[in-house]
Amino acid sequence: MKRISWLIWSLVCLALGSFYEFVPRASIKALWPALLFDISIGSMRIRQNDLILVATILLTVGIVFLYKWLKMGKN
Amino acid sequence: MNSWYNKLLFSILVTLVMNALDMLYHLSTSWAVHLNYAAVKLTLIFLSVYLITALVGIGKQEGIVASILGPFMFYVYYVFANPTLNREVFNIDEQFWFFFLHAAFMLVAYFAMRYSVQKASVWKSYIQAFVVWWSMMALELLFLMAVWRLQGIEEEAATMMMTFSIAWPVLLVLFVALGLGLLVRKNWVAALLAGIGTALVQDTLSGVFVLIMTWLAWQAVTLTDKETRTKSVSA
Repeated sequence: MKRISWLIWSLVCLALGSFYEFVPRASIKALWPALLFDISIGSMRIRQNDLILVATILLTVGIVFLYKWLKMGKN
Repeated sequence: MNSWYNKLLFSILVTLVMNALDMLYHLSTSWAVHLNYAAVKLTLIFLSVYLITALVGIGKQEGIVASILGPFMFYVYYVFANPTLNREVFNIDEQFWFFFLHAAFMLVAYFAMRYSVQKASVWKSYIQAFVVWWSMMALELLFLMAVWRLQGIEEEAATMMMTFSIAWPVLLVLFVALGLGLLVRKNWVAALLAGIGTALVQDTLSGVFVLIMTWLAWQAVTLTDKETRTKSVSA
């Protein structure tokens, strides 16, 4: 993957992760309720903590992609 | 370390060692060890280590970055997630100072594993045994919590059952078994002794699990050792 692609994907992951991590649930619901994924998959309901975990994973991925972009620049 | 499965094994072993050190610390100081929180830690630590290993490589800088990133990300998770355990009953490691403790455990785990895959030295087999020892501790504690969950034991009751008195006999058994295995230079001896010892201090099911997993953990450590690189390798 080209160097710029790592930066773009990093920013996408960081933006998406930050949105779900830091924006209050009530604000997301006011924006568009569907963004909360308030649905059931089988017998399990998607909870707030599940969204926070996915957001944290996205933030982690975004930071690592940023690190990769920085490393490619040094090399 | 060019193959994807070696990078995966490396990351899994670092994750297990770090979580074992963390769980034992918590148990010895009466902080709660809860399966759901352990699962979140395992996920975020593994992700940090594996992504950095796969995309950037293995090295000193990479180890330091991973050791900061993983613990920091699950501190962030703790801050924004809803509490699922009663804080009046259980101490949970959500204060910021725990970040430094977790980072320290990560550094130990990462650099122990990195040393395990470097070129030959006098200490290498001992460090590899250390990695297997703590990997097995994590696996056994997770196995116990998973079995209790499957038995339908309520999560707060299971958290109260997971105490240091459950953990230290297994720690000692594994230490002795791996030590004897090192003396005779036979990994299967270590696995067999670990299994028998765990069956005596815990139960037969745990003994069988520990026997199989100790042998597999040794295979994983020696497999990562076969493709050793000491420099960072760009993906």
